[in-house]
Amino acid sequence: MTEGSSTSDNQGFRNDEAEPFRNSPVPFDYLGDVPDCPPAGAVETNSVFYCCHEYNPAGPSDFRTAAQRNHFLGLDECRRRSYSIMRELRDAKSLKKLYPMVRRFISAGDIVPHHGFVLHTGGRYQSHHSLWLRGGVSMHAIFNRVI
Amino acid sequence: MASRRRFYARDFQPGDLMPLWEIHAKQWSGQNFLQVAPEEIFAEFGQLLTFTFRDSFGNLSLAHLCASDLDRARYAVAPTDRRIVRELLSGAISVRDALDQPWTWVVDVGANGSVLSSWAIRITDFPPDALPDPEVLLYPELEPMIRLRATGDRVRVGAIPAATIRKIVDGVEYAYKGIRKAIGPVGAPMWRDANVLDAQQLRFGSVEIAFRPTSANVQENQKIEQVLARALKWAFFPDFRLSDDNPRENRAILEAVKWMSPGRGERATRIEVTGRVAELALDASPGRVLLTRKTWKRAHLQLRRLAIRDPEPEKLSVVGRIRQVDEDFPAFTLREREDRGVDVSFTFDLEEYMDDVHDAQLGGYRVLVTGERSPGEELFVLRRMKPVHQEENDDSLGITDIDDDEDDDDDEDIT
Repeated sequence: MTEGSSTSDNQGFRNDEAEPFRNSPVPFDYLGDVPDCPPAGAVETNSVFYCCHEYNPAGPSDFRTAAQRNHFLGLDECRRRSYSIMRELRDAKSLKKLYPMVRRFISAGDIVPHHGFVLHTGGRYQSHHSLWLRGGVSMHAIFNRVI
Repeated sequence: MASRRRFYARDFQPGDLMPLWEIHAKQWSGQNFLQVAPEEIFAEFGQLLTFTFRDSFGNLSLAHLCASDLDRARYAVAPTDRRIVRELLSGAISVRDALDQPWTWVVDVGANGSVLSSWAIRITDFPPDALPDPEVLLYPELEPMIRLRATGDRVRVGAIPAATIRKIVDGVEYAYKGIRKAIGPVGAPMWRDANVLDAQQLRFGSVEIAFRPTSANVQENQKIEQVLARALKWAFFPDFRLSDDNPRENRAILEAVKWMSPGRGERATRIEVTGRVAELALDASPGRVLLTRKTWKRAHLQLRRLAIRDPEPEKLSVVGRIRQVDEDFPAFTLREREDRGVDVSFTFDLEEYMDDVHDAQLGGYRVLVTGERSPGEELFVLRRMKPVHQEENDDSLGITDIDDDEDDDDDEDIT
């Protein structure tokens, strides 16, 4: 979930299979009740992303979706269950400046296809992406390199 | 080495974390905060971060996340209005400016927006890292290219010398223009507007002005920002060396530092530079570069050293008519020369000479122009121009030398 517009140029991302997650051996079990989620346009990737968190190492209140926070009830349920990540370090640094206590640290993570799917959701933070993790994959395990 | 551990939010219960910071104030007993339902959301990443909402009496409030744990979010809340919101969204004021109101609250919000607790406290009583720094704007795209803040014993609230304001504005504008001239045309040719910078933010508590370029030429803006960042890098790191392969750009860099730094006799003794170019210079966010009189002197001495090494420029003083003007570059060609020489082209400072050049072209009258060019340069740089009346015309107005003393005078003017 993010503010502003939603786009999906997904430059640099692999998108060579149509809806591959439907046949994935590792299902998105926590999305079972949400139809068409992850959405069409979300793709697998081999890229570095950045995420902000409050604790070092990241704690249980870090890396939570809107659904886990119980925010944005009634809005797009699929987006509520995605994680917010940044493609550009510059955007993560901006968030850190704006929320110095709750976005105290920035971690980099290498997202690979077996982690899940990403969708460029842009907005005022242009490199913002939404990430849907496969079942059993943890944000804390991916974003483990504090910058 | 610590073992890597996997965390899952669902495995944790509320209370596993450190408590939120303690507030040393009485709980707010007003009934205006019962439920928080966002009216306009400005930032949210899986969590409401910055937004407006109406309190129980319908008053518009601004909320900015300053702490959170598993089951509640803590917001700094201030009364607001449409003007403040407009200025916040345009980058005219920072987030802290928008929150810095006579009344400020801390409001703890639980799931579904229910208010758990609230306190009335002053913004100065927030923990230092709970709110963004005073200059931080709401969105990264709003970050000014450069922000200068002048301080000194003689720069006080209510008695800010006009010369200090002029110093900041002139200093950064001359620095910008000098660099633009040094790097030459970049990207698609644009109309070279005399107004190259807009003041984005003005604060007069300590004289702070933020600027952004007016030009829509993104390539050129980026190039200028890179060179300006190198200027700040030179000012910040005493051992940073400018490369030898671009003396023209080096001169512009040193002049930019000199223009922006406080010189002898100026009331401001320190100028703090922030903004995109400072972050670029230091590769840090936020980046701050302090310019002092010592910085001015360093740049001044370095420029003198460069001047000694520079080969003597070719100088020209000639009478002719301006028949063709290229306003994009900007440049003009002098034709029908009195000395029957070939046509010669001059580049000129748009702001200083545009009116004179236009008048001479439209009027068709003869002008005496003086200029100089460094070895390898194609165009002469216009240094002086004046109309020539018939009675003044004699054979002495052929090619002559320019009086060297003028440059020295200009040099001293800067101090």
